[in-house]
Amino acid sequence: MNSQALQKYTAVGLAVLGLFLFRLTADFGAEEMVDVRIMPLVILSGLGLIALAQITLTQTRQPTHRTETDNGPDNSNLPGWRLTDLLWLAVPVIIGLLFAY
Amino acid sequence: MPIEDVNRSSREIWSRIGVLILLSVLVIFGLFTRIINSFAGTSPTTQDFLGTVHRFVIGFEGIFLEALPFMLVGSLAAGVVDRYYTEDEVQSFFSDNKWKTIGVGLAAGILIPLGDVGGIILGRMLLRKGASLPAAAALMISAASANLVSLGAAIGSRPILIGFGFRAAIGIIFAVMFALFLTSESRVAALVNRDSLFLPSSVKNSDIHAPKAIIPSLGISMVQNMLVFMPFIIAGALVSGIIQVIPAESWLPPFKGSIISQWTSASLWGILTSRGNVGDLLAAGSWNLTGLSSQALIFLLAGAFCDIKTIGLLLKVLKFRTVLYLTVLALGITMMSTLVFGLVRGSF
Repeated sequence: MNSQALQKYTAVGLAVLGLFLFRLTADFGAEEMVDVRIMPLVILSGLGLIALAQITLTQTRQPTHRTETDNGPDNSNLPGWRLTDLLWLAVPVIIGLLFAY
Repeated sequence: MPIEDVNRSSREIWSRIGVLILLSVLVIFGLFTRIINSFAGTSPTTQDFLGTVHRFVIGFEGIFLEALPFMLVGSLAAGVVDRYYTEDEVQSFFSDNKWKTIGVGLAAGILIPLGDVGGIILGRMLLRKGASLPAAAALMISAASANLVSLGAAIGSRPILIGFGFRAAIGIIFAVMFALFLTSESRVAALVNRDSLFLPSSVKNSDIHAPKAIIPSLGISMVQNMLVFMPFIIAGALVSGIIQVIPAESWLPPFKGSIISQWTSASLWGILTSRGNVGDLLAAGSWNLTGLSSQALIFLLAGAFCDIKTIGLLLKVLKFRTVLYLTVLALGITMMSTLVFGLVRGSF
């Protein structure tokens, strides 16, 4: 999978994770999981993830960052897009959707 | 292709296969429990099984949800350092004088609401930009024990204010001690993982202050920093979620028995549950103990310095040997400080 496609899927993954946080807080399922006083931080995180998804998606047409196949010198300290990281994003969503009832 | 690249791509393939297996197991097991839940009767075995799965979900998602806000703040801070500060600027802040560099690290850990997770993310970026290891260590330890969000939570919920004060004081002392200990070690490469080391790039940071597309550039940096640490948070939450369903009801806080068994149980509970720095305080406050007990103090310190999630994140940045020193020293200082606090107060 090329870097642009990975970046696009990462954006989708982040958006899904952000929406999942909203679902948890809206259904009050998160009340059991974290203290109610931490809930505003969880909602802000959901918003943050959706904003990051938007930025990541709009940047797919300007691939200025390293990919897992790049080997040349780089002036950035960024790690690059990897499929494994994207797969990890699915774990909390799967557990939250399939196991919580 | 160089041997290092071959090893890296082989590791990448194996980790990809590992995550795919994990996802498949989760999906199959999740669907299976859904079916059981749909047909569940009143059989105690079925109810016990569903209750165990429910406890696992609460444990896992609780740790993940507590860690996520601090992960975002840490990624934002790391993104700012990555995109807006050159290596020279970071080095001028963090590497000329031993006391100044530790002081700046300590102040950053306390003033920026990074928490345990965010502190490690920012610490790694600073190391990669050429900051000294003692400064990064001071930042990581102080962020885990004393930060503005924890202070706010403690002020808002009075019973845990003393617990916060104790954890903050010991955390700052430990951060300075450990940072000073690291200043005597000149071989940084022996203590820090290769991908967290400062490697001067052949291309200098010429475009780092480029005015164009500032927010997108910062956003992409944030996402990539976050993705590096996300697997460690999720793996830590998974392990903690599984471990939390194992203990019997009799081994849940507040702990009973002799002082030694209370302390051992409290430190183990702090290590295994992997709560965040605010979650730890709120959990200790909910134990309904009269006054602040020694077991709550032990739980707060062990949970802040060496829980499973923190150890996993630290292993991404530091070599195993360094993390082992840090954990052993943290547990030692936890026991010593609680003992001294108990002796001064005249009770345990």
